[in-house]
Amino acid sequence: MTRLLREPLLHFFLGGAVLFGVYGWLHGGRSNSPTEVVVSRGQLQSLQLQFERVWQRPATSDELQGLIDGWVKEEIFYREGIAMALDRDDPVVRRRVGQKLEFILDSAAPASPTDAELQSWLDAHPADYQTEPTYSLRQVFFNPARHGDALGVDIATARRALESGKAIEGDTTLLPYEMNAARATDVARVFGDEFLVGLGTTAIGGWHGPVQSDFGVHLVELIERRDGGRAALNDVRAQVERDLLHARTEDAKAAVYERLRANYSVRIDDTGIPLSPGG
Amino acid sequence: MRCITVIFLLGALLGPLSIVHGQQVSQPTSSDIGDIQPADPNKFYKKPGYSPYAGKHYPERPLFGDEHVHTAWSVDAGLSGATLDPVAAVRFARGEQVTSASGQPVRLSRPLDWIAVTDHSDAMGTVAAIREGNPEMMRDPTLKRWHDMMNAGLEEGSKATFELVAAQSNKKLPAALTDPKWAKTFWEHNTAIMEQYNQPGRFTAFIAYEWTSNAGGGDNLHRNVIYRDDKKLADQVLPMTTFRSENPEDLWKWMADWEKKTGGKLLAIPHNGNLSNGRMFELRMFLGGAMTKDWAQQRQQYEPLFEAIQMKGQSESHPSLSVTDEFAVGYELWDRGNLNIIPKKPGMIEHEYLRQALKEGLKVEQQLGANPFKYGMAGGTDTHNSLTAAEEDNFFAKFVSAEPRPDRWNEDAMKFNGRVIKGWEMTAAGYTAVWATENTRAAIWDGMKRRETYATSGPRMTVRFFGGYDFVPLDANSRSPAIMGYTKGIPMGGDLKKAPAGKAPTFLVAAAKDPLSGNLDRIQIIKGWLDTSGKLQEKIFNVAWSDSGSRKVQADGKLPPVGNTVDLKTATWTNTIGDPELMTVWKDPEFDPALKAFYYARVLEIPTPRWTAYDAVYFKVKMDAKVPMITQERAFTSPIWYAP
Repeated sequence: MTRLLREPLLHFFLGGAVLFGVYGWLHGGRSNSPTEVVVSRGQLQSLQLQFERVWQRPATSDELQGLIDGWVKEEIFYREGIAMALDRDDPVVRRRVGQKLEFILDSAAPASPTDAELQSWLDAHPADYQTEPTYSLRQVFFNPARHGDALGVDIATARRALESGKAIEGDTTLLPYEMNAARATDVARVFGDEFLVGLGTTAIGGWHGPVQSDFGVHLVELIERRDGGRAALNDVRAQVERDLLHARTEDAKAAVYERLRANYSVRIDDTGIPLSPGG
Repeated sequence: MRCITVIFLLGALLGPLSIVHGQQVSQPTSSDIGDIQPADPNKFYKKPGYSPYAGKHYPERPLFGDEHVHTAWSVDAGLSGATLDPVAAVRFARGEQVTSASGQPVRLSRPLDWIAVTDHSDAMGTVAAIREGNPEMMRDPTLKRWHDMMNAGLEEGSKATFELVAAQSNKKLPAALTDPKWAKTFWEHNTAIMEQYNQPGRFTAFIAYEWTSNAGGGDNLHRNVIYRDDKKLADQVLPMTTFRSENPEDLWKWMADWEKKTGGKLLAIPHNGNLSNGRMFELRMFLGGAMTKDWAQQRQQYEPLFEAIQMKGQSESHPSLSVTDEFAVGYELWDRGNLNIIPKKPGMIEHEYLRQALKEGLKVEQQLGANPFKYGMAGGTDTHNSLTAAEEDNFFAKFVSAEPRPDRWNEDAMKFNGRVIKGWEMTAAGYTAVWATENTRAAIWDGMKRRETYATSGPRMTVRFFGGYDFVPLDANSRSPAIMGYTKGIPMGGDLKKAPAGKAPTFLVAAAKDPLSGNLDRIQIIKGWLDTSGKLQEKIFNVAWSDSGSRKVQADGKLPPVGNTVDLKTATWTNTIGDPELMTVWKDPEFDPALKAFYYARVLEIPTPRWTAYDAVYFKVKMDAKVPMITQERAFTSPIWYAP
């Protein structure tokens, strides 16, 4: 039974039943007589609302009369046209009706998945939710142009000072002094790829380097490096739910078609080749 | 068969139902954070303790994005063969690989931080219906013909686009395209997608659209409308279309009504003054009336930014207006006509470029008491294939028909009645950098609103620009120029207070290269002012440059070129010239405290290969001598104004 309750097709038909009820309410005043046109209260309301949504004001009584007249005319022409079978074999009508069905299937998204379902989707698609390595670091920047031949000596001096607990500012730069739990792509965006590669071989704790970047060289204190890996559901719940629902909607559409298709046999007259149901 | 009946009935009531749903007007939600007012120094760190980084609360990293992206849901894009929808656009901007409509795998060099998908509000979503042969639309012979062309291949499809753009400009769009019922479905679908992919802290997907006014037959007055808020608010009203009005003043009215109704906030970004045939910054109201103070105030309120560069050229400066600017000469100019390539007449260019408009704004402010052209800088691509690929070595162009192919440089990028803009003239640009405190809709939108932004031609250089009266040269040598900047001044986009007696404005300006792009050549400060005789003036100051040991500013203020390392045989360059970072403090040596002025920074990279050079190497084609193969990528900051 629980399996049945999760069946997308069932949701679709239940949703349909609800819509059908609303439809009945909206169109409650519609007559069954083929020669009587009833503009129900629901229809009237919907015409008014449609007007308001576009113009951001209510329709005047003249405009409302115009909307009703237009609707009535369309309804009468529509009925007459159907009676004359003008819809038959009209490629555009066929396509429009088909599109409408597809649109409904798109909209009839299944209910929110359970945690267990989300988890199993996550487990089945680990690569889509891989988290990146993150880095927490401090860096002191040296602009080679300012130090010339003394660069190596100056870095060594600064490093001794840093190791003895002194604060060293380094050269002026727009680069940040520290990054906290920054993703690898963000580190690379700020310092460049070469620096990120350099971090890969830098030990945790203490001042190390020099590490090269596009900007110059850096002494780096790597405070923490967290490896990337599989994401926990709580961190990626929204994305997992979005992707799972998207997949389910697609599956549901395919399933609906498959079931409908099974009711038909198809024959192509030209060749006379019979196609199997659902084929 | 019974289920089919049910389904059919469901279809019949879908329209009315969603309308009823729209009746349930939701309450405005409160914002994530309040408005950030420009440069309140008290908010920032004042007296440093041991750690200069403690207690700081200011934007630390520029957030790069594209405020101008079209997908297959835009009429002209869909007609010309675009198939990627807004989901693809957002996924691509987030750094995922997608397959372009021409079947080529493509990915950005690195993710963007945010995107605004701005499909045209006019006939939004109708193209999918045309392509698929929607019955109502196929009754119209023109739409039927476009349908056939779209399904007859790329070339026919792009012809259909040209026809459609022309029809829209000339107000000859088939009536079936203008029915709002098409818009409703697609707008709500669009906002749902943005809601799904907006990920606060990681990636921002704005709700947005483009209002595409082509006044008088192709005079480009387009505006991108960006929402600060979410779907609940955005869905309450359908986007403004030019079927209702092509008067920008009506757009502002629509924005005001929307804000009043929903409690949300909107801003608009105009673009392509260069294709407006003198109308973008005309010195009168849209219908020809004299400018009023109220008009100027509304324009300033709703339009904090201007898109200064995109794939259809730049609108920052024109060599005929800025005659001393050697970097405006031949730089991505689309200056022959409007969007329909109707040729320009004398006097039009004066009202198309932002630098000139910034100057005119000072004069108008003098007359009316309000500055209508108080624009900060934005950059976007205006791509029509969902791919915000503005990188020179990764340029996927504006339309599907111009995605990488050997002949694209020599084909027609735009064509109207025999008037042509060639493929090689397309510009691989641009992005907007926003200084925002965090990556959320609210924080980025607030950064745009206070104009703390700069435009780039594609690379992601970091640019800081602060104005104040107390900056001293030592501030440029401090460990963190940004802390000094916010402590002692105001950032880009702000206003200087009246000068204290005897003081002139000082500016702290700093730039760091994009790690993936060229080194920096120079930083310039561009000053515009209204002189004592009421004339508009501009002057470009070279304030910081690379290789300063060997390059000196000459008597005429010019700085010798930085050199060139581009090898066109391989489309490569070396960073052996230029500097990775430049910074300085500059004091205006010609300041007159009585005169209105503005200042903005322009940062230039060393020469690097233009997209045409990458094409020539990859496709082994030889292009005409007139085709530019080398470019100097650049950034323009929002101005800082001085209005005594």
